[in-house]
Amino acid sequence: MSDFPLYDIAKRSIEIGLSLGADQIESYVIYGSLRSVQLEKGSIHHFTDTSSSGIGVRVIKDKSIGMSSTTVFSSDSIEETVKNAYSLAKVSPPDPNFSSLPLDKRESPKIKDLYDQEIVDLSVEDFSEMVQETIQEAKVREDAVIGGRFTAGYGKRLILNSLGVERETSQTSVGGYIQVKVLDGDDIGNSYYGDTATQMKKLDHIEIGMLAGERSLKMLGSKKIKTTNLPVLLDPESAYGTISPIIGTGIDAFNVFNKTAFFVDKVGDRIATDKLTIVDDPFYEGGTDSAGFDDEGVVPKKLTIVKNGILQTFITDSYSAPLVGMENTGHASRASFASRPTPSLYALQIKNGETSKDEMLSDLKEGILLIDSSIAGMGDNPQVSAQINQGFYVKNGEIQYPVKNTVIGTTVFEILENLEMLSKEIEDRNGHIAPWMKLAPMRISGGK
Amino acid sequence: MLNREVLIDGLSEGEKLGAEYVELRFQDKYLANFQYRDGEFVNTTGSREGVCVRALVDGSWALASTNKTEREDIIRTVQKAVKLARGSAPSKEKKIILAEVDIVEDKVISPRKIDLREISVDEKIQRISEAAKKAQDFPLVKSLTINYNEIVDKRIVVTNEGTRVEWEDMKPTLMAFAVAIDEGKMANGYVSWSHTCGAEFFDWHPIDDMVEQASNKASKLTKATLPPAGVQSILLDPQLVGVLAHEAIGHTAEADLVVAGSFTQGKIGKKVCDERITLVDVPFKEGSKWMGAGWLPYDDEGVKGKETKIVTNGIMTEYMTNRAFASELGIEPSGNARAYTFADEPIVRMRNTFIEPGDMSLEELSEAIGDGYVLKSLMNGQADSSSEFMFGVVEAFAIKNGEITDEIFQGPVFTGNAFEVLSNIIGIGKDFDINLGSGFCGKEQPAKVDGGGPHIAVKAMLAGGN
Repeated sequence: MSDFPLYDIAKRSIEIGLSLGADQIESYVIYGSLRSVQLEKGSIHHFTDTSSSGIGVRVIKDKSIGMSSTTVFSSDSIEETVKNAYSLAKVSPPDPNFSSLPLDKRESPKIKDLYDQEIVDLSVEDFSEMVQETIQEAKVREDAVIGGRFTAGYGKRLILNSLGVERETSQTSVGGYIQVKVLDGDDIGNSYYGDTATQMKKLDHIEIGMLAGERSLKMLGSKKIKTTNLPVLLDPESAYGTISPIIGTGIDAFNVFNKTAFFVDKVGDRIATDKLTIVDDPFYEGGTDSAGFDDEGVVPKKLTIVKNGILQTFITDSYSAPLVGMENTGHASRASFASRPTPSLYALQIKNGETSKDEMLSDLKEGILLIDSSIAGMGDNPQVSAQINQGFYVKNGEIQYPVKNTVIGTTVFEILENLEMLSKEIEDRNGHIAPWMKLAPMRISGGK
Repeated sequence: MLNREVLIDGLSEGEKLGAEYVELRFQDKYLANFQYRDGEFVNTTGSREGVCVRALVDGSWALASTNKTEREDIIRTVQKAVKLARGSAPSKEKKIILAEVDIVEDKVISPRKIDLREISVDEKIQRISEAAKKAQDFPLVKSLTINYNEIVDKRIVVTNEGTRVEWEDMKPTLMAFAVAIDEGKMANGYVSWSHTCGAEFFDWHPIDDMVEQASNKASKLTKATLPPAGVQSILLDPQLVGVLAHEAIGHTAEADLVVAGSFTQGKIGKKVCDERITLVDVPFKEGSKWMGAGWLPYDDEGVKGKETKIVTNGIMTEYMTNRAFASELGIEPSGNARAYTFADEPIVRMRNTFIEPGDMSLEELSEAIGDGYVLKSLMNGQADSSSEFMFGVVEAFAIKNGEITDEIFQGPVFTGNAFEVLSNIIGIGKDFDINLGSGFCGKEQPAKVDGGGPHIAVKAMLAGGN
């Protein structure tokens, strides 16, 4: 796959760092490419094939940390990058909270279906055909404006550190996102749908086009509603998109240590109604977020995060685990090869309830139904003011019309305390698992 | 620095393979980020160097990029781009045509008095450490983050039409974020700046001043409540005016989003807001106090930047565009095609977007409002292509009987449709500032942008209030 001796480059960077006088050094290498097809106005606009490769080096000297990165894999560039990281560590104040890079030599589990040669070998012609078929499905009307993007990528991830961690894995992904807009005069029906998979056969591109198209028609005829308090019914995508960031930000051990997490000192305490049970599963077969080791090379575990509303654990990496007095749960994650790792969830499985989704809707006397429209907050601010992208006003169990200019004002705590009911049906999107979810009445701010 | 001749060889290869148009962009981007948080530093530097090739074959586009910059790597990447374009041509319903542009040869360096690199990394980190101590003067401040970001970006764009442009820009960004807690009540204070300039940035915005401002805001806001929800008379500061101009109006006038059906589609020549509003996007603004972070003399298609008058006296007048959309829409390329790194494709992006000043003083604006609120600084927000927006504001002050008071309120959520808001104008200030805060726009890929305007008084909706 690569014409670079990646292991040699990573190993060499470790040797250079140690020879300069580093106490510890870590090398994180990504080598891969991403192909994409951009759609505009219902046809293929262009293809791209771009590099996503780079190397990031983290050097520790006298408890001071320096990081540097490069996209150029030459010997000179690697040497300069390590020297930059070392120089940065030398001039940075010591970090008293730093303990050590991790040492984990346990065997990493082999997770099935994370790599698919069919994605790597996908020809321009086959890629085009898949996208054309999707466009046809999305074309719910001749005048529908269809846009979006399909991607197919592969990447090799290599992590070495001076304590002896040596990990390497390869993964593929293929995905598509379609937006459809239909117009009836000034009335705009705008919607979207997207999905990603690690295996070609698991991506249902026809469904992506079909759902985006169907939903755009349903968004016609939107109305403003009055400001009031109403219960909110979330479809599985909205439920996952709401719960995942709240939990992810709320139990990040680094945030816990800094007292900015939502659930500081809450392990063992109730943070939600007893309806909520959540498991984080790094090893889900074919999961888009699955991994046998984290971004520091540590093997994670399948963790129960919330059990019947009681918080069970925080998530940690090598830096934050000692700060909160916990073991390293193997949740280190990097936004890119250049980034410092921080704790992040893999893929949540939100346990289902006992009521059917049809009953949940038919029992709703008055409320708002959200479709793929989460109500998560922003960052570590517990206040939530979420604009509803795709919501419907429901009366006597019947969907009446889509709502516009509507904002849900609440807090992350209220969302969890208001969780009244979960459906027995779940949706499993390549490891992201959630049921339908009903929240007790909350503040809905309508338009003027 | 890559030898430009290697890029010219790439152009020849593309032409030899039958491409109608070939463009090569070399980019060497230096990034530094020094982040302080409660005594700890996360310090990173990095280089993003590589070449991007775009080829047009039989009216079909393709792009390929490489992080390898030897001649044979670039030739291989050109071959890949041409092959991709040719391969996708049969499935293309409509051929891409590029609008004609002037062929240019130029080399530009962004304005600066002192090169940022003349101040050592060591000294920058020291300055941040020292400035952080200022927060100790505020006992309620429990957490302080200072984030300094520096970009030095060198680019060469060559096309087989003959364009040869090189430029280097330098853009520092500084942000101070304080969290104060008083009797269990938490409040945030946030200050950020970014310009196109050198180390004179630190004289304009001393780090300790920014820490003091953020700490002061956070401390005061612990005692503040939210203003009442509902339609209010509001005075927007230049930063919020810039955010409105960029996020809620500007994006809807980017040609790619226009073609996809944004609010401004079909609106050229039509009245879209109050006739006192003129809103522009410019490659740089001469004569302002500082050079906006969106400085861009040429875009990543090698097109010389021109002023785009998006709204003129309340009438929709121009879109921002690249060459392909310019041809499709029958308009002139504006120099708005931008890519963040060599691996990114140039897409239509803004530069410095602002509303032109009016003729009212701050006192006259307050008087015209009577009773209402002045909203200051953006905390967070979102907007969509129909111009619906929702912005979280840092702080608000009461305006009573035509005077701005010291009565402070937590920043409410300012929401609505931007064109409707700009149709409900009470008055436009004669002041002007360009300050979009950290100035990072996140449409598909990051871009340094800026925005601003005068103070503007409007009737608008405050949500999330009491």
